[in-house]
Amino acid sequence: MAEDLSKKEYFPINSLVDVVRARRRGLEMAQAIGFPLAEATKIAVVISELGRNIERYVGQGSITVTAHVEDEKYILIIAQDGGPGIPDVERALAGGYSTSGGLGLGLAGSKRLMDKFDIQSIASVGTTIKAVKWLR
Amino acid sequence: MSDTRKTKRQLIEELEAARTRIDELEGALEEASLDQRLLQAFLDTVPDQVYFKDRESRFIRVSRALTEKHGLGEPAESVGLTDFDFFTEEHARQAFEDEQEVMRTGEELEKEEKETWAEGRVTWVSTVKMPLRDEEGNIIGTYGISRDVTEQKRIEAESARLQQEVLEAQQRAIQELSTPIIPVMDVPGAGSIIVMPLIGSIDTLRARDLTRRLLEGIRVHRAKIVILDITGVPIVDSGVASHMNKTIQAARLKGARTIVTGISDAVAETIVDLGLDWSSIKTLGDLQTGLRVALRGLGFKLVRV
Amino acid sequence: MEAYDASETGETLETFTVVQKLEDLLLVSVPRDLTDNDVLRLRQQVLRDIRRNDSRWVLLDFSLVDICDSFFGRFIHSTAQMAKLMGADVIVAGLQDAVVETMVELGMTLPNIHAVLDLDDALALSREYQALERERGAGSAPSGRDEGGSQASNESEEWDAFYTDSSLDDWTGV
Repeated sequence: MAEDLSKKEYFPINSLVDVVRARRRGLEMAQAIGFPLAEATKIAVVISELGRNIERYVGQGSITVTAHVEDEKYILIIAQDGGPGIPDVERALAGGYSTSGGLGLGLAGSKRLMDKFDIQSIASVGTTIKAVKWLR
Repeated sequence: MSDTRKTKRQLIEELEAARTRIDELEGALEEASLDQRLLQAFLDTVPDQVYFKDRESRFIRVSRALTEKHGLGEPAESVGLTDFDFFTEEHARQAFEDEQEVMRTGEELEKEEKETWAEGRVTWVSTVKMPLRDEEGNIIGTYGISRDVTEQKRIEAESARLQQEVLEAQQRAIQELSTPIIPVMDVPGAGSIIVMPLIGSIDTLRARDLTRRLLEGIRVHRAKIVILDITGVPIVDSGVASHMNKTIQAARLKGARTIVTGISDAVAETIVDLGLDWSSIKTLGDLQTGLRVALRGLGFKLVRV
Repeated sequence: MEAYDASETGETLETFTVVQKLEDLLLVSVPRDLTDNDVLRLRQQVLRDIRRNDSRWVLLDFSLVDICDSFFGRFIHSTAQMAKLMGADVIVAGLQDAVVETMVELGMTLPNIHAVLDLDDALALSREYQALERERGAGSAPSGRDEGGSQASNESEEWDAFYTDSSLDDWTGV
């Protein structure tokens, strides 16, 4: 059943169990506003990738998931952490850090799965990643 | 003879004149009374919101219908009030500006607008505002007629929504019709062969839908081999090739191998010219050969009896 | 067969038996959500059991998994590589439609790893290869066992053979 009001949920990320919880809720939220299973799965995977990166490279951060329904329907994911930052965002998005296995594959893949993908990263300050997927 | 004494005739003439004057006045009064009664009858029965306002946009006279819509008991209660007493500041401000404009230009203003009431109610009206003039032609206020079209608006929106739904359902039907999944052979214990003939151009959205339907088909029919026939796909560029690649990879993860058939000369040229790497995709000229190879793939061969 | 108790480590989620022996197959029911610790322990368990049972095949059943990310893909690859070194081939089964769509979108196509619809097909596949290996004789080297080569490329060769097999055209006679 479609939700009438936009919903926002906040997930602190301190462990992999937190990542699992966030991605599962993300899957539910996306389906609740009408995303078909395959598309909702993609959203859940992006939450998982971003959450894992936070857990592995920073240790703590947060992910906020917004299920927006007024006028247009979309899911907005905001992943934030407090550093150390991604030195070369472009390279990361191109899959350039694939030697470590984690970062490159995760970010480049996540970008492909979403409609809009934006990374703001400042060395020693932190990183904020925003990603949007519209329904249809 | 004295001047103070008018002649009898003069008195009679004055009396006649006075009588005539009285008749005229009575006639005029009756006419004005009739006009008044007609106006009153009109304002009492017209279903639209009719109003007369002064230069400060205060109500002078209103129709009963307006009285009811504004939640008042009697038309007289509206006298002296303005839109600001009934609508949100924003809406009242807009109406006020419109009336000022009408009085300034002397031209009528016709529009369809949304009315936002103070308590939150929202209605739609088709309205016309006109300048109110006195006998000399000076503008002394405005008057207007508003017809409630909230219901029409709702019906319009509903109709548009239904049209959209029908359109989408049609599109889905077309999509399904143009990409059927045809199970052609089921070998118990060995799996089945399904054919998916593609017709028409393939964009990202369609490719996604195709892949989904193919995966479902593989699951439902327990297909081991998929024959993807692209005879009906007019344009095969790197985008389409990439989509097809993804679909084939997806099929493999569900345990099915894919054969692509129906590659025309033109498409073959395009693939090579574009430098597309189709070496990992099994391709064959036509569906018939594809079918034979598929059977062989399941460990069978056709034998004439 | 040991029950794999995931709750022993601090950061894990589920507790149930995930690894079972079935003929010469080792059947692994992959849990829905795996933390990194779960993965390490599961892999250890699998490798131990391959050796213990002299398993020829490891069947990774993903029917319970509905969210897969790149970590998940790496888990499959690393497990397959390790298993091959120990002489067992990996078969992936039960991947859900939505999961497959996402994997392909991410470029996770699992080359060189068998993929089947479900357990029945996995068993059928293992028997097929058993028959093939018997045909080829004990001395020959079916890939996977001795070479650690790619199973799927062997499939590809067989596939190619179908095109060049002239008996294809012989269907007008018996």
